[in-house]
Amino acid sequence: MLKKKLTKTNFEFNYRLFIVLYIFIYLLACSNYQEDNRAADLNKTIMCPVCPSETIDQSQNILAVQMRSIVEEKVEQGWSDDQIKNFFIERYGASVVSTPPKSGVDLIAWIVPPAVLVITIIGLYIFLKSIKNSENLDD
Amino acid sequence: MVEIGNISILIALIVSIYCSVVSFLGAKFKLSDLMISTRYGLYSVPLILLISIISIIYAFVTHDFSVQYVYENSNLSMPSSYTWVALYAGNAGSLLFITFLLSVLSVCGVISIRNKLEYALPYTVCILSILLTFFIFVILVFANPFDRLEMIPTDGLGINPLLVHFGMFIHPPVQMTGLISVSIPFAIIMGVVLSGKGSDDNWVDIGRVWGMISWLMLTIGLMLGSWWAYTILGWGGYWAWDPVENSGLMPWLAMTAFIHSIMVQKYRGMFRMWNVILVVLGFTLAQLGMFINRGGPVPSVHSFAASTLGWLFLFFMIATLVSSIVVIFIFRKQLPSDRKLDSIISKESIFLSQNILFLLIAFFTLWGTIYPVFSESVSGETVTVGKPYFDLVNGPLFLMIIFLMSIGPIIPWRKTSFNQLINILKIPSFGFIICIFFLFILGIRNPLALIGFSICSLVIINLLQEWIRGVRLRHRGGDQYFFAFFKLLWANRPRYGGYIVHIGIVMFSVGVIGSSFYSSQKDFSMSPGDSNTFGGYNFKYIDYTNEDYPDRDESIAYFQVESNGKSIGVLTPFRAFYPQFRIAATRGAIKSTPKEDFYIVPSQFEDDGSGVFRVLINPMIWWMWVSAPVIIFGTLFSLFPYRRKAKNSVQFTE
Repeated sequence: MLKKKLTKTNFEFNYRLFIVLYIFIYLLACSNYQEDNRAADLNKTIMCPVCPSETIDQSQNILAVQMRSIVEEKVEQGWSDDQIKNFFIERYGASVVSTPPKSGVDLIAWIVPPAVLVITIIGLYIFLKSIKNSENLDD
Repeated sequence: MVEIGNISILIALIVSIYCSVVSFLGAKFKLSDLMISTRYGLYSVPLILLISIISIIYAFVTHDFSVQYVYENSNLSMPSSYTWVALYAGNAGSLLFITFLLSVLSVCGVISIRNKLEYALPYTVCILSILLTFFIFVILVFANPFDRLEMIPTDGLGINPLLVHFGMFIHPPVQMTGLISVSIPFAIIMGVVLSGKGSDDNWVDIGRVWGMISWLMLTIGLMLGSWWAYTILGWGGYWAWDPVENSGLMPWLAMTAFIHSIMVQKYRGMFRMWNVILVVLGFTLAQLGMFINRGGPVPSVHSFAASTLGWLFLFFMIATLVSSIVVIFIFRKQLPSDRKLDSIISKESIFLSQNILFLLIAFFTLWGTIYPVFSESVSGETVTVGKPYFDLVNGPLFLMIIFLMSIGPIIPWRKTSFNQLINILKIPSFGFIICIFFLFILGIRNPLALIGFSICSLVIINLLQEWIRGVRLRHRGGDQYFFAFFKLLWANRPRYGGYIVHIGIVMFSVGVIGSSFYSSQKDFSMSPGDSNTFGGYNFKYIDYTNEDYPDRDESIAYFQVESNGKSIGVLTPFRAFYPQFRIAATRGAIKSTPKEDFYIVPSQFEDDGSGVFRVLINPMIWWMWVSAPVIIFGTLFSLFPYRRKAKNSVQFTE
């Protein structure tokens, strides 16, 4: 009995230690981390308007090469990511960026995945709960 | 010669219509002669189709440009070995090729169930014949590779130069085999359901084997595609969430869910209905892939096979989906399992959650793939759903799956109390935290990468724990440690083969995580004689050559590369320009090590040798390609048959 209790407390200690340590390292990691190479990252989010389904980072098309140099130029001039994206959207339309805009009708694109995820989790929870209940009935 | 091909296609159509109608009637009226005749009819279809394939190859070899397909997909300067490639490089030819593959696989499928599932045979033959009928009909009426041109051109157009690569010999055939092979487990399982004996569970082993075969083919196809994109397309990446890539991934996701949940049915006699639904989903998604690939509504880099046939495939997909749902509904009474889940904390419920996660990823991928069409029809504005969206939406789910993969193997079947669970998780949590420390000391600071790597290491820790436990048990039974390990693995091949695949998946994930969070790239404008430094690598542009071929102009650059002062050899990236197609193909040169890849590719190349060279350092990508043999070995290991088994193949471990 005593032994059983001991192992239990032992574990609880580990468990807490584990969570605390994990959060500690995680926060430390977050504080140390910073992004670099904005131009290359931006290139991966801007589509080449004349090549099907390729970003300007991927494409070897002349237009993509020109757009890459524009991005680099604007980054050096200190433009923000959104400014650069809008610069291209004005010229080539919304489809030039690789993600749908987070406004208007296109908000649906962003809402559906988390909504479905939440519904699934609730559904799974109810299903598993019903098992537990029937299990109790058996007992 | 081409006429022979055309006639044999027609004969194949007649035979498969006969098989589909007569095998159903034979089953309905219990006329065994009729049923047997359709089986042999089905056996003859691959042979008939082989004749038409030979005749089209003959047309290619003899450069018979009066045939439209030959004219469009080959020319006189093409290397003759690529004749084989030209067979499936275009729309009509690839359809013929797929149909041939389907007929061969159908015969294998029918032979595999001939003795064990005799009662399902006529229905399976019927379903497979209907599929064959559809494909052959489409070939004959809408995309006939044997159509002739009115006038005979002197030379053909040739194939897209991007396809002139060794990868073209293996990636498309394997990928097509993967997509079409999902039909076999589908036809077998639906055949069993239609025969009214779905509740027998005799189909579990054969369904599992076929599910794993198509899973393996899909896996190899996807990996070859990524490897090809990485080495050839010259942008340093391997996966872009392109619509056609997605359409290959979605059936893979459904089949991955299937081959896991079928194990629950095999060992615990549960999830019967669920498995039938999963195989229907896998089949539907594979057909959706064909719809997207053949001129579906979304643009893609794989548009070489584009045509207007997509909608036909969509129609057929909806037809098969609806009829499958109707069949499941009619036979719903025999499909629910006799057993229910015992507890939330059990292997079964982990399998279930894993299944749901895979289906969620498949759904989100589908959603992102078709969203541009949806958006255009609603708001009239086109948008792009690209890599950042899919990474954001699917990335966390993949991590959750890897987490389940780590704890799944050590959670017992049926029931586990909370205290037991805590005991089980003790060693993993310790190992987990040691790994995080270790990774942190190694310099992994990116929060997401840290989570990813530590979950990956958790998988390995738990597998080791489980293996050590098993080996110890056997050692106590008198075996030496070394033999105990192999005996353990050999004794339960479906399970331990699966664990070997898991190790492969971890290797793959490590490559994905490493390369997506820690790759760095830079463009260098260089002329011969220049040298530069990037990420610990010194590279000197020594020289270049320009060579003119009949079909292309090639510029090759020579780079002397040093890593931390040590020479690692001369790399030769090149760029080829095909004037006829106005397409430039670049090929990167890669120095690959387990730690990282040094990747150099020309993005611009002038005649005087000066140009812009993109240099990428991709950490750990090596592991992705090395994981492939591990995954293949693991899958084959778990498929390796037992010599002789009890008649009832379902074994419950209590």
